[in-house]
Amino acid sequence: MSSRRDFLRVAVAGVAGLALGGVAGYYARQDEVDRLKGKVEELLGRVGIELEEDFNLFNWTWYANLELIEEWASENNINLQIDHYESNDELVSELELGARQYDVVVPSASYIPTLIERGILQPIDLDKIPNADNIPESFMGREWDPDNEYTLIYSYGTTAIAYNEEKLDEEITSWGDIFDVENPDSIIRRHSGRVTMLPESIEVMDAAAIYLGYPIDTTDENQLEDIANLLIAQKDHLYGYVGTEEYMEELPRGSLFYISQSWNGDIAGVIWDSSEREVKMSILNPHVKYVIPEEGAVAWFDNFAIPANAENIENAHAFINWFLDPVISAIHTMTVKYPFPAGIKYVPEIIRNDQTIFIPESLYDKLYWTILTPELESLWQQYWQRVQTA
Amino acid sequence: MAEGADSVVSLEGLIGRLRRSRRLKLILFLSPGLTVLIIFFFSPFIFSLLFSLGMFTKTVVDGVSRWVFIPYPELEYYSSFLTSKSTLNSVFQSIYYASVTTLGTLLLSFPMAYYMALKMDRGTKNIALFLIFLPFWINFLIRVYAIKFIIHPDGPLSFLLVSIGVLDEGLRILGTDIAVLITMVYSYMIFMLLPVYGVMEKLNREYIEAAYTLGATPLKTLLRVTIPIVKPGIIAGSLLVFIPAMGEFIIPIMVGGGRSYPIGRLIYDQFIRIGPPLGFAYGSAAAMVYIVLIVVSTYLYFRFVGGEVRLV
Repeated sequence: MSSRRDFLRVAVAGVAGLALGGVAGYYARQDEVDRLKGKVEELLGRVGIELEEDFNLFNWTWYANLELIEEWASENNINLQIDHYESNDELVSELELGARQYDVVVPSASYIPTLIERGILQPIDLDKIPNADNIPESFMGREWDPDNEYTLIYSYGTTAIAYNEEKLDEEITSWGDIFDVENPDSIIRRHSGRVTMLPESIEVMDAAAIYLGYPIDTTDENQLEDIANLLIAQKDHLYGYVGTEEYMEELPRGSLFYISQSWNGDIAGVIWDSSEREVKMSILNPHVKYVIPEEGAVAWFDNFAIPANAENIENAHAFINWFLDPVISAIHTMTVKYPFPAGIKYVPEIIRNDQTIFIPESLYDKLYWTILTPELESLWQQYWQRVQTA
Repeated sequence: MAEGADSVVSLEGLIGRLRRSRRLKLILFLSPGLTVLIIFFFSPFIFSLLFSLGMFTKTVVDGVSRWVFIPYPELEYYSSFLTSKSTLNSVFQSIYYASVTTLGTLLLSFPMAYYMALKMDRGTKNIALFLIFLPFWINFLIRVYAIKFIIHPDGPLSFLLVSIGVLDEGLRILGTDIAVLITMVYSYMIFMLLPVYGVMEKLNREYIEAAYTLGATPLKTLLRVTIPIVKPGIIAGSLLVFIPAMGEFIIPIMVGGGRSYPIGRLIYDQFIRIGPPLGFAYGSAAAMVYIVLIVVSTYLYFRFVGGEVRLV
């Protein structure tokens, strides 16, 4: 883009030169010069050329086509830096510390009210994101940010159980299959050491709460005590708390572990032949399954947000706007197999019909989500701490 | 050029004074190192102390989350750390990992250092030392990944053991304490080997020969002659292994399972995953307890094992 920018610079100089009266003793009035300058400024703004040099994206592992983002950056002459995280805990901690500066982050909805309250996010200027119109109505103005003042939907999905069916004689249908450690006939007991949970406090505790039939925003200390005790007992039979990168690699082989609490799109990325850099559209691991247990599961909604300490705000808006272009969103979905709502109409039917990627409507009433308050979060963290060190 | 002459004189004077003054020399030699230590050791220490007492914390001021200083110390984080049975598990696990690692590296290093120092000629010795240093040209994380690959149930070791019929299925050590300990012993071995070898190198062979001549058995020679002489090297090596092994967190994260949660990992999680303000306060309290633990165990070690420390 530097060539276009230079071209515009030259053009500005030419126009200004004319106005200032390079020609035959004509001297422009100051207000005329200002008007022209404004016009050029407007022009630059419209073609999106007033971009900063750097852009720092902090996103989840396996959550976009990195090749495409790199192309966008190089086309716009932007120094791109992408860092990854595997849990909201990591993201919130990094933002709260503020030592590294990011321009766009992707927090989950349940954390957003806290982030806003703590002044960690800055408002998004929707005027700079005309492509926000591509987002389906049902994803706008949701309870965590009713006026979309700070966030716009990125993607959404569920947290449930994935397993390698070659390693099991039966199907997994319930959270009890990985929580009922009292019963020696349960799947987790018969496959002890072959089960993993996510490395994210809230996800793990929510799953235990759903299994126990407690609300996933409980503040009842007895219930939290039960949740912690259950997780501590389960720990003896776990391989560990394992994130995206590791379970995406191990599940299809199933030699180290083969039952994982996981995020749907990651598993779709395992089932489909996928890479973070290419659109691939064939099934690779049909023996990996993703199930929403009969007790239900957590649904989550991840969102674009701009941290308060972001330095490249124009780039942040330009990036979000670019991402929300329906074709771009569709390419991202075809790459990493997470649904990006802005592009749904361009996604091929074969992907749209995949129930691992797009949650079937019949399951909607089995899905729960919650908004964390800072009090709730710190209370839960205390119990989670006990689970970890046990 | 009166000014120039003056400055030459004063420079000479300075050098002369430096020659004469021990104190000036001391300041000149110590200050660069001290500055680094003060900046990179004492300031984080003071910050951790403030975090752990809840005196430096983050709160929302005018809608923005800011760092604030509170002049009243709180002992809440220490008491919740010290009274929780589960966090003490982490402490014991660290002590366990560090002790086994120290013992393991010693058992592996001692015969190796002995052989290298006393039985090898100069050229072979240099080759051996070169081979010992060779893996350290490779990044630490890559070496840990390599171990992970080797002991993976689909990895080469399992393949070998299954194909010769020792095992029915792949090894199941990844994600257990065994994997953590193997990796730790491997990673820390050089810190034991070098100081032990360094002292062994200076061991006068004639002492051993004298012991044999005077009728001592090989075991007795080892216990009464070799080990006492090499003791400073063993002490130095043990400290170099034990102290960092106590704080180890990367290895448990990479090859340990959910049960592998030593204090280093607890502190790491508090700082990186939980983050400020709570995680910083709690993690700092844990870090302070950890420092006290290190100081006390080092003191006890000197008290009971005794001896001077000789680093190489």
